[in-house]
Amino acid sequence: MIHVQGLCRFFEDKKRGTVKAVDDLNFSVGRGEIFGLLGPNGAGKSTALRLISTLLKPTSGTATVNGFDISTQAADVRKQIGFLTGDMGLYPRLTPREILFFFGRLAEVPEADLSRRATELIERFDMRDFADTRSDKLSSGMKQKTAIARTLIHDPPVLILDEPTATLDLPTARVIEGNILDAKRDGKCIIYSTHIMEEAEYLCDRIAVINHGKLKICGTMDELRAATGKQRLHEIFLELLAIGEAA
Amino acid sequence: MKLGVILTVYKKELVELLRDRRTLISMVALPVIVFPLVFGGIGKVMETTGKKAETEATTVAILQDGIPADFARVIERSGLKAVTVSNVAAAVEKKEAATGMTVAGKLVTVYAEGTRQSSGIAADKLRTALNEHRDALVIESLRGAKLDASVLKPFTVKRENVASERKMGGFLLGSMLGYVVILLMFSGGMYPAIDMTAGEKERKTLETLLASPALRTDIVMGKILACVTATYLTALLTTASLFYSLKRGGARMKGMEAMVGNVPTDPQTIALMLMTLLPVAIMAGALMVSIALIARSFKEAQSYLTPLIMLVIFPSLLGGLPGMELTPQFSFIPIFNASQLLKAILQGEVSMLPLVLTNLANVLYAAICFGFAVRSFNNEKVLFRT
Repeated sequence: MIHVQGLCRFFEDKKRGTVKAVDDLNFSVGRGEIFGLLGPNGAGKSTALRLISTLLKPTSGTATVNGFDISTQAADVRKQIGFLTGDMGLYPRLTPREILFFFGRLAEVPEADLSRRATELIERFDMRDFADTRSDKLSSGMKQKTAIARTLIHDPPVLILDEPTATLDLPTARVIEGNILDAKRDGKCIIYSTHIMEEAEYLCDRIAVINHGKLKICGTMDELRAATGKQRLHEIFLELLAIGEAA
Repeated sequence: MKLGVILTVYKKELVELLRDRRTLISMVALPVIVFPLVFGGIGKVMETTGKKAETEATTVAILQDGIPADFARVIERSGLKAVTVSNVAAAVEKKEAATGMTVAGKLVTVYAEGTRQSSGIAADKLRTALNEHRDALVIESLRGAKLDASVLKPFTVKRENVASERKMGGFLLGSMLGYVVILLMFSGGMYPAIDMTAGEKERKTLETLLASPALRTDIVMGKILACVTATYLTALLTTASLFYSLKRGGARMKGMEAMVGNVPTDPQTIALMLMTLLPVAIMAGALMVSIALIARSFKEAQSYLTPLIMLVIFPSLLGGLPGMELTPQFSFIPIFNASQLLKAILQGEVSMLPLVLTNLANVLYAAICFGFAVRSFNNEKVLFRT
């Protein structure tokens, strides 16, 4: 569903010169797969996700999402994805129901389907009690539920989730994780970026670690263990960063 | 371009604006409340102070040595009461008397404290009575010389104002309407423009919006239309409020009753004004959206747009000044042209050429600003400026 080939994005910075935020990235993610994207702050994860979501244009290389090219078919690509940014991106003066309808209409979901789908998501994420409360009055957990429901409103085949449980308490995080596993069972292709190693280990089918814009490793947990000789993901992660720094 | 998507963004922006207190204050409260308050207040204050001054204008200071008897009778006739003092000028200055009078040979001096309304009124009363007394003395002398009083007035000079009542009413409103409406249009559209651009960046909602399947052009069109609606609505409310306030509160202002009473409110004038304000509203909305888009935060956007409003004051104020006329060349100067045209429309003196040229020029400027905003919204560097 997602094929990333030689993806690069460079920025010009007055002080630092050319910054290689994403440098020759290659990976693929299939249907019904959760692909973990890990890396320290500033590694290039968010830039990579922004490139795949067509928010930014690549300097070189490309990616296809469900067969559509990010450079030449940006609007078609965006129809295939539900993108959750690390900041949730909720309109504070709108209610969760209004937000769901707004994004559904932007995706041109037919009104009858939209109404049914919004009700379904409100039920699924247990949002009934606050569906008509302004977002600026909601707790972090309620906001995140709304944000994830928003990414699903047009039933996209691809989900790009940037730290979806970062600000949540454990019970709410478990609800969100459960819904992500449901989406996987529904056959959705999911890119999952997180700093929580246990979560990545538990949820992801394959994991990629990037640092300084470059892909350091990509594979299943067993493949990562075999390549590094470490057992737990946080050990593997630190090992890869240490190798990177030493090099 | 998808109309459904544009309308979806448009409606969402309007809902958000209507739920924002800052926008409501700048867009609705300011024009609707301020003018009735200002004009009603000024009218009321003028009325009250006028009445108060009238009741205080009762005394005239004269020297202890007194004044000739015929002048004492003049004071009596004027309805004022004489108060004996040692220094007339000082007494008037210290409010011991409203006005004062000294007689030295053939020189009669009337004293008034120029900053006090009651003193002016009393001095006027006294001067009128003195003039009448002088005229009576002259007539008496003429009679002694067997001459008719008409020899003093071989002819009468009369000044006739050829401007129609409508024109006078339009002159008053026109000189301030362009300036006030255009200024408030920009300030009314400022918060909405910032809220839907830099505000979205600050609230971190812009990325989510851009990652939706909607085209960026459709998104920005919806946003600009919402900002134009806010700007135009401010203009309509300001105009309506100004008309209403002038008609009601202005009638209390002394000397302005006739002018205010003739402020034109016929459908043709109103239609022409609305037509003139529309392209200016589009230009203002699109321009402010494109400028606010560059900013990273609400505060930064405010610092960009405040100078723009300052910049607008000059041509809009100049356009309302008496003596300035809308020539075909001036019709191409943005803001100034609209301010001038509004004045001409209100005075019922609008010519076809400046009307067409001004509106065409403003439609062109509006299209340029609209295009600029759309272009900015498709520029990655503007959207993701860090």
